[in-house]
Amino acid sequence: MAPAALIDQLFPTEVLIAVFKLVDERDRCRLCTVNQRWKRVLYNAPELWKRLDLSNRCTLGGDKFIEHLDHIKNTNNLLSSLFSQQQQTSSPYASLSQQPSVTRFSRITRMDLSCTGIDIDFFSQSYVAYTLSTSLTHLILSGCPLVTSGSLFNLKSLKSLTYLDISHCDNVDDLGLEVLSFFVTWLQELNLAYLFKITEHGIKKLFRMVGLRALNLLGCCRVKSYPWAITNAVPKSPLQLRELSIGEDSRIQTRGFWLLWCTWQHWDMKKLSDICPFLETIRLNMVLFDLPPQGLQILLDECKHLKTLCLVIERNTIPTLCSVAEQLRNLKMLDLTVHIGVQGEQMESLLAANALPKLKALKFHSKHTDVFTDDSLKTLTTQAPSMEYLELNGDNLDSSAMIPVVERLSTTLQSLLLHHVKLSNNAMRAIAKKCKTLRDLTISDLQVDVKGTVPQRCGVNGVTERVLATTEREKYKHGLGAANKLKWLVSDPSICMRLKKIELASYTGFSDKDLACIPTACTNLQWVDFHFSFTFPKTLVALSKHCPNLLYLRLFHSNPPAFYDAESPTPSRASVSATSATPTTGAPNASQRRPSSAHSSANRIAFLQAAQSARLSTSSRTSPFMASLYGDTSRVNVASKRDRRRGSGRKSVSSDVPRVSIAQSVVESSKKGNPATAKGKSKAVYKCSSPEGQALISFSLGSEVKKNASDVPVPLFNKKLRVLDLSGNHGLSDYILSSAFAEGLTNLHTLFLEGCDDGLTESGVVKFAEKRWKTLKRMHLRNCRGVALNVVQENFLSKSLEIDVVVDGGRVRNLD
Amino acid sequence: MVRITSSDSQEFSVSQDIACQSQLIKNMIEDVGDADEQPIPLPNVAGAILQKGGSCFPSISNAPKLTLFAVIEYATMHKDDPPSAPETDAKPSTSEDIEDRDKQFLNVDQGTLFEIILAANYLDMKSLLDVGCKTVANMIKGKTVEEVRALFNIVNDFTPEEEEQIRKENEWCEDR
Repeated sequence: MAPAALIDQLFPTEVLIAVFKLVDERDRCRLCTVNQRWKRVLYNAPELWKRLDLSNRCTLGGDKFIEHLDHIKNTNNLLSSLFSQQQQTSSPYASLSQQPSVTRFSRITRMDLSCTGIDIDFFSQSYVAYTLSTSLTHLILSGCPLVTSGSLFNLKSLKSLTYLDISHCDNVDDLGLEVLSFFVTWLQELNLAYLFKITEHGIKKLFRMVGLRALNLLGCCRVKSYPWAITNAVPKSPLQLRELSIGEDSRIQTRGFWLLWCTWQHWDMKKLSDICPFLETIRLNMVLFDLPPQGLQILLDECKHLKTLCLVIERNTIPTLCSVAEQLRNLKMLDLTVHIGVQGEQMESLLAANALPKLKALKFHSKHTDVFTDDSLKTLTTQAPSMEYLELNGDNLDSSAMIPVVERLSTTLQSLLLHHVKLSNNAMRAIAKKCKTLRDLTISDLQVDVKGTVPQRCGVNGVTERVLATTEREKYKHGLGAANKLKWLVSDPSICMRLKKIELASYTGFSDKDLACIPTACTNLQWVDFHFSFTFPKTLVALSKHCPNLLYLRLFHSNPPAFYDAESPTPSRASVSATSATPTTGAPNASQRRPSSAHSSANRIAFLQAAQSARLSTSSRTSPFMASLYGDTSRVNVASKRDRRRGSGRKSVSSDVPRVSIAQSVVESSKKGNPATAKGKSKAVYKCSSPEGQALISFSLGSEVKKNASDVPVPLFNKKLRVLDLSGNHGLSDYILSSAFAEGLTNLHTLFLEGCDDGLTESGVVKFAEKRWKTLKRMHLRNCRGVALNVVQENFLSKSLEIDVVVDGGRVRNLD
Repeated sequence: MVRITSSDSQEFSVSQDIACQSQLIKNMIEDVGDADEQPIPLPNVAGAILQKGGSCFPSISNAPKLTLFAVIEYATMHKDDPPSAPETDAKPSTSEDIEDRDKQFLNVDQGTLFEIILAANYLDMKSLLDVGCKTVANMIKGKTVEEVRALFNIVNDFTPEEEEQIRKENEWCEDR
């Protein structure tokens, strides 16, 4: 027998365990297979297995639920095998596991089963109940479709349970709450968020649980009046509740949506504080209620232990807030959401009253609320030095205003959302260097600090087009220069490691190269939104190469405006690729689809012309709209006219106008018979071998990392990706969708496609759906003109494959 | 000053506040009383068995590194650190936060590293033990079983059937 390795000779068990404590669960599981000793050490150290996480949490809430026969995917089977002794002893290798596997989990305290198909019958089995009854304190069943009101009864054996999370369990109603209040009376914390079926009646039952300390009712939309209003009588003894959350979870709210129900009437602070005098935390997230002027005063007076407060502030509540500034200063944490209509001077009055020193989060209901000037922002960050979440509209801010902000908040700030802001390179660098804890960064609608060029407001028609074109060109010239800012953003390696979420939206000046440096540097990104930025192959490839944890990706693809291209000394990569692309892509599909003669490339061009001019004529119904657009000096218009002149024929993204321009360019260039423009016109079609197509393929398959032809492609990088949102023409064709996407993106459950009409037809969509029906839950198609699903196909997708298909905003009807 | 001797009878003289970073020595001093009288024997810590290692001091970087010497070097480096906060159960410890100087200090061959960790374990020096374990954990993290075996020269002593069985039992962690 070979001598034991040095590490095994030297390290006693306790040191090995100390090392194992520092690696994550996945590593630990893997290490069990290293050798006998490591396995023995790991299996006999229940302290290493206190937490068991079998959740599919990273699914972004969209996983399709199907009963998996696969052992690993079936949580019930898996749990049974992990906890069962029977299985161990009956296995042919029973002799080698002297200690049954169950020892491993004998001291488990926290079990996370969210988003799984767990049937909680499991907990009623005697051996499970025996093991868990004394140890398990936290159980998370969030989003488990098989958890029903009745089955909650099975939790009665978990005598140590203090925390139960059944949020998003759609099948739990008032009866479930009654079951809990009878059989699991010892619970202290209960998370009922987003249970759409529960009402005040169910919540009333909960107050039988005398030990209940925390209650989360976020998103329970049927609880309209606060739960105890219906009793009318005050309970005999005050409730022991310490923590109460009502309203909408700000992390998942969509702007504008919350207003539908987060408006509360008959809110009575007096009653609330009478019934729950011990409250320490009140979260009234995103809730707009008619608070009487002294309501806040009552709350702060009566609930003496109050430490944490989340509130929406609107114009009328600000004077109230100022009057209780003293008490607000004594809180531990204040979380404010600013409602629409609040003015800068009102914000300043709050600052003047020094009411905000405990402010941890500042959010806005509307991105366009600009309340800060350089001075008031400075005062805010000085007064509230521990802010973690800061959202700003940068209308009135200087391009370097963020530098002192991030300096002051360097150790606390976790999320920074900037809208319509000017950022100097120094500010970018400061964000990268100073924010030690930043994980989430959004910069939308970045403004270009145009120095030296006069921003020309051209309200008069006539000269407008020329002038606007100049300023636009200036803007893009500066804009693309400004995109270098991203280089500064990733200039510090530690911010790159920390960033989990990045959104660079509504700014078209970022170049492919600049955007690509973000995923290259920030390898832990999970959420990427490059909406309305120009994104190109490099960015995609960088994402696939460097960001294995990507869960959400939103890309908006279009080509830079023609005048930028005209200015640039070397042709951009896109144009090179496009010129080299022959227009035969998608021809087989096209010819299948429409029985026109699209066999040779020449025919194809002719066909394109015909088809598009036909489209142009059919869209004449909207001609007033078009005309207005053409008369208007919008950017798109300028771009498209210049496009036409150059005959580039590039596709832009927005739906109608560019269409027209392309059609016209095709027509015009064919009239001229200029070979160069004819070539240019073919850019409209991406081939699979074009950089765009290749980028998509390598993004989904990870084949880019294949070194030699003989190598098997390195493990698929984007297998974690759950939501993909592609807008504009990325070169996505039937072939890429139905083969590369279907094979590579194994966990994708939501696919948004907008304006992908280049070689993409219904047959590709159906093929893709057919291959991926097990995970694919919803598909949204907008403006994908090649895709024309017929009734049979629609039925097949929505009924047989159970995929939620939305085409151009209309849900495909389900024949049920 | 406190005198301590290694298992190979080398004697070191260190100041009390440095020596007392070791809970073991601290307890010994408290138990025995006056520490100046006789050297404290540390039979489990070798003075010089190891060949080579980097050092914070360039002048001796090529000299043989002594475990106890290295430990003392570490203790000297950290003598002004504030006492570490008690670890809470709620927040799982990570292995990411190693100070640069410690990284450099532990940038040694595996044998030396293991000896230092062992010595820290024996001497009950929590901070050094932590930092050592973190270093080993970082070596292991994200590696496949084969890579871990290769890293530490571990021989696979499972039969293929056993290995398959264990692998199956732990498959659930992958792909999440």
